[in-house]
Amino acid sequence: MDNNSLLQSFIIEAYKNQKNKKHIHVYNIKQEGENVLCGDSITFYVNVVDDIVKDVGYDAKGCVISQVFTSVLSENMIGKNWSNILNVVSFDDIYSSIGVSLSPTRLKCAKLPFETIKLALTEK
Amino acid sequence: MYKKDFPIFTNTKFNGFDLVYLDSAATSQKPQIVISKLKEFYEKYNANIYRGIYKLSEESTELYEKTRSRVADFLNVSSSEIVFTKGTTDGINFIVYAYAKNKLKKGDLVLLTEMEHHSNIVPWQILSKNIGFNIEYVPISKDGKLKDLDKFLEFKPKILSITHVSNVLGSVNDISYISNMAHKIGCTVIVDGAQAVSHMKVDLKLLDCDFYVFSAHKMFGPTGVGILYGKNEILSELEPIFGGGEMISSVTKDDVVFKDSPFKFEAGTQNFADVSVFSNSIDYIENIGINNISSYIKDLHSYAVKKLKGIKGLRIYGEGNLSGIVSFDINGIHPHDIATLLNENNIAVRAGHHCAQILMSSLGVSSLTRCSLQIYNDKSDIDKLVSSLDKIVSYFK
Repeated sequence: MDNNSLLQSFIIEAYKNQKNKKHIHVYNIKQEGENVLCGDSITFYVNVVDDIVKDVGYDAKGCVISQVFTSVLSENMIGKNWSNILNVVSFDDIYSSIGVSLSPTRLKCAKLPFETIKLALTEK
Repeated sequence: MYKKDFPIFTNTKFNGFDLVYLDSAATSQKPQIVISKLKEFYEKYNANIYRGIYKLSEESTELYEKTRSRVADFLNVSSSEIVFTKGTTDGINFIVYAYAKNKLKKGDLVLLTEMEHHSNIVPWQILSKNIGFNIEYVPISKDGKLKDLDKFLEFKPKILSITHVSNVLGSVNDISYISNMAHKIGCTVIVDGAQAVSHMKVDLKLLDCDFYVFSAHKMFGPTGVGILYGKNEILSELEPIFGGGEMISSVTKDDVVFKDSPFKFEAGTQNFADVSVFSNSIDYIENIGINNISSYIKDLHSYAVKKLKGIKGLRIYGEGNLSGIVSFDINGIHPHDIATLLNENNIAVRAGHHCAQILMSSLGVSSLTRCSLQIYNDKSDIDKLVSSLDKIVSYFK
């Protein structure tokens, strides 16, 4: 919590200003993801037209890390090719763009939205 | 006052902050005397125990057995009732496979409680799948006390396996009373003492349970050492579950004769270095005095509760239990975030389900932040915790 704390300066601000944490009425993909051990949960709503992500909304409960990564992922998904989404918007790219260093335990929180989208792609 | 005995506090700065260690329920820090004695053991006494007909092995054996007597005295029992294990979990699993497996049959009842650590639940669940006995959990009240134990005992359980002190709520179960009640119906009492022994006087003659297990590493001792106490009359009847090494008296092609308990349960080369050094941890505790430790922790716990209650939105679980374990949550802030942010100031707390998911579910939460106290903590640690938590709460406004 000193001045160098990325958690303070970026993550908490991003947490307070999540972009797509909303209900969207038009969607054709709904996917729930959960990290049972710590109680983080996400439900993604994605509207895909001609394999292009037109809109994304989500509900999320849990820690700051899981929610911020969900928010940043959702922003980056719009306009991208759905079937290839996790290659176009990779976890590694977003992790390095956020620039926070996470312990192995917290990495699980950060990866939850990516795992949830992966599940949606697999189940589809 | 005691912090100076623990070198970790002078060796571990992070982000410019001194270590505030509030996770002693997970493992305690080690005093210099224990660290030095472990080094000294390898430098002066290292030889396998029992086997060698030479001075070094005899000395090593003597140190190992000295710990057994030291532990026995500490608990007010006989050395033949003390078996060395790898830890509390290992001890419970030993009881499950060496004792319960032969005692239980399909349809029998094993009684646990909702405040048990997974280590005192899962071994029973595994065995239950093989044998088909039933498991019931004594519920807890909102303040973390057992509810309706008497009623559950009316179902005539064969075994009651229960924690002495809850690793989340700090509730202290009255083992002496419980043993008395359970024994009236012929129910065996097994106690998980992991969170109790370094914080309060444990006199097993008074508690009168049949088994009591705990770990050395939570009481200033080395990792990888556990203690299993079993009443002589029970241990002497049990068959070993591991064979080999010094637990054997004689072997022929057709038969084996085991040594007497406790030796018949210690198969293979034992963790003799760590066991030997554990006696120094008990010396450390007794030099301060277990009752002094108990009252010091109680005072510090009261101070922590008073200060923590000043934080907006903070709720303590099991507030009235002054055994050095304070679990809490703060409205709108996930415990993992609290722990991560406290870590920025080098404050170590535990966050999560604390290997007690049944308890979490009973409390209606998915995780909590836990601050657990030891003799090396002081009021300044609590002040640093509270001031950091105040800042965290302000970030989330």
